[in-house]
Amino acid sequence: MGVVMFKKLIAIVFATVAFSAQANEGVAFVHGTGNATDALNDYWTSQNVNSIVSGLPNSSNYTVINCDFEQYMWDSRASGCLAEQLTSFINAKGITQMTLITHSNGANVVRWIMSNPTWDSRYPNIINKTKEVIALAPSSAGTPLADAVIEGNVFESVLGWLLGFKNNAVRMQQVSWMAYYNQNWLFGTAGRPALPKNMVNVVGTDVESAIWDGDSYCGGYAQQVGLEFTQNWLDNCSDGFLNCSSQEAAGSLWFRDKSRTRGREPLSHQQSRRKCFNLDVFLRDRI
Amino acid sequence: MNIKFSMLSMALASSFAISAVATERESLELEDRMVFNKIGAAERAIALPRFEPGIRDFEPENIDIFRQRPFQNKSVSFSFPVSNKMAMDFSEKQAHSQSRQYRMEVTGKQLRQGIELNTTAPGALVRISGFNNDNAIEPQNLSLVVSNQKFARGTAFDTLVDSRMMTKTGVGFQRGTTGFKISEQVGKGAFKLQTQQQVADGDRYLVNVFEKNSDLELHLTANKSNYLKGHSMNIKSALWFDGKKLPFNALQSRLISPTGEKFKVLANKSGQMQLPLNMNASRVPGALWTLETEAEAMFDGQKVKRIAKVAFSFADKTASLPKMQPLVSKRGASLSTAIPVNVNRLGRYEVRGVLYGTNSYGKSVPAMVTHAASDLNPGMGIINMQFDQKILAASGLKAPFAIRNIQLRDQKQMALLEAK
Repeated sequence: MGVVMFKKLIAIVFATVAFSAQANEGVAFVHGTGNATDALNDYWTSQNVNSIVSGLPNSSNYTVINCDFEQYMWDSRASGCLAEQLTSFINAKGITQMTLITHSNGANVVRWIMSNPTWDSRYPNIINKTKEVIALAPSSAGTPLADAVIEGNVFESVLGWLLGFKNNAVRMQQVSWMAYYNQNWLFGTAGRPALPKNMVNVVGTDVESAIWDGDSYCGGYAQQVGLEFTQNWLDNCSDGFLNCSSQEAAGSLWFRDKSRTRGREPLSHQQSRRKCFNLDVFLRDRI
Repeated sequence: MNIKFSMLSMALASSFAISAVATERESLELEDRMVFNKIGAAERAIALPRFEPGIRDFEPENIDIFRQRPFQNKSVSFSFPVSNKMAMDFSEKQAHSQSRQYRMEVTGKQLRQGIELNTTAPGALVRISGFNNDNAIEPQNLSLVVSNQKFARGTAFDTLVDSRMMTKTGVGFQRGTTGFKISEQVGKGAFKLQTQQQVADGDRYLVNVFEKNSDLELHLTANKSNYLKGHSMNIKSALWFDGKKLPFNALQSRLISPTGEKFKVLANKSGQMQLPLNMNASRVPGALWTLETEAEAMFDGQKVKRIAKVAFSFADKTASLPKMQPLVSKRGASLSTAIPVNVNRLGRYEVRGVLYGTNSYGKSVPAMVTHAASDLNPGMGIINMQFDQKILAASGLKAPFAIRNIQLRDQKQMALLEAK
């Protein structure tokens, strides 16, 4: 019995080594709400990306997505654009295993692809090539702030969406809207089928903006102050834009910020996409 | 005249027709009286915006559809493994929302004279958005009068966010929005909010009040969240304070389409609505309709308000599943099933289902969720569902197999048409 077990173990080790040797791993960075044209510099920062991808066997195997995520997740300018850029990346680099690092609403667009493989014939290949989704502060259950934005948009209430059209992604991330999409079109939340590939979450739990605290400046001080105000719409546990419950609504928890970050610093919503408090190191070690 | 009532009237008159609360008897006649696909003149003006060049969201559905989905003409089948331990719930759920906020529309003149702001808990958050977003009401120029004591220039506020800072939140509040939090020490009740800023009489502003710490909540519950044309929507609304239900002073509801059309809705005094949904369907696939309800009640001797919304999908019934249960067939190692679909309208349709197999104890357990989609013409069509052999082999499940929890979806409308 012991010999059989040993042989099986050896076979598994060999198979793993052989597979690893053949695998060509890559990383794609998927931004959040916004119409990105230079997400490498404007959204993630090259310093952050370079630090993370240094964990790859081939550090040139990465792509930074630039799509119009002001649209609904199913729109061709959102998930269609993402599918196009991921497919190009897979083909150009011969990627066999891909980690998707998403931020905020980027996770919803990825979940759309993962949950609706028949929507677009490019989706199945993307799903099959995906090893894991690392979702940084995903807006999986929406945010009350999206409701507040829509509610406070005078153009919408008076001119019938004429000028409020630009950001369908905000409309989509209203809490009741995301509840609908999670229940009917997306996988990975409680009671729904699991996503075809693992999705793990990094959750931001607080915002600190003390002017004397250098950590408040990681990612921009003015943004921190703004996020402290927006926290008023949210639960006690939030990253200034999303409740922790939303960030944890789909997939599984990897970690809550303070449990791992340097100095137990919280990751505000804008810090979870930057090189703050060793987050880049955790990502580098995981990919 | 009560200034609050005046402001409320102005706000509603500008965008919606004011409807009186229906009596109990009227509610019984509701279904006969309501015509949802007719829009009043004022509402029609809102409903038919001129399209600006380059705005793609509002282009006709068919054009947008083809641009959105150029890769969908193939038949595709895809399976997800599921574990027997995975709790999957395919039952239809109610749509529910609760609110601790309200809004009102005011003019520059009213803001200079002072508007009434009623709160039910300390620490209310207030935002002010200008219709002309170049003329923001900066919170440093606001004063608050509490029990005849005047707190000048923002001194009654814990947090002040001016228009410049608000844009830096990155959240997406429109330009010219400002906000403040009323100091917890000031407490709750009837306040008078006044600006010392020079604003024109006719300038218009939207004031949102969010009471995070309040126990006063408006609850809205719809019987489900997916509706097809001709379905009836049942809504219950209730205003709760600390476990007690408050009677409504006034209740007004409206349906709002994904393109901003508004349809007046009547409710009875107890807050129930039964709505036959016969509107012309949305031309924005996947975008949701909203039922918005504005409630007013008396609490602690003052009028209090709440506005809540529930979102739901509304689509045409473009296809259906026959009653017969499809059989799973086996050819060699491969399993498949053919799902017949009665198609009313040319489109792309998807069926989803859970394949069950039999384990070593003879128990039927789920093996995989499979999606399959095809373009179908009107008439009886077939969607072939191919089950993943690798997933099946890994599951170790054997015959007999069965397909359950079948759903039919219209991908062109992005609508769930049927589930059984």
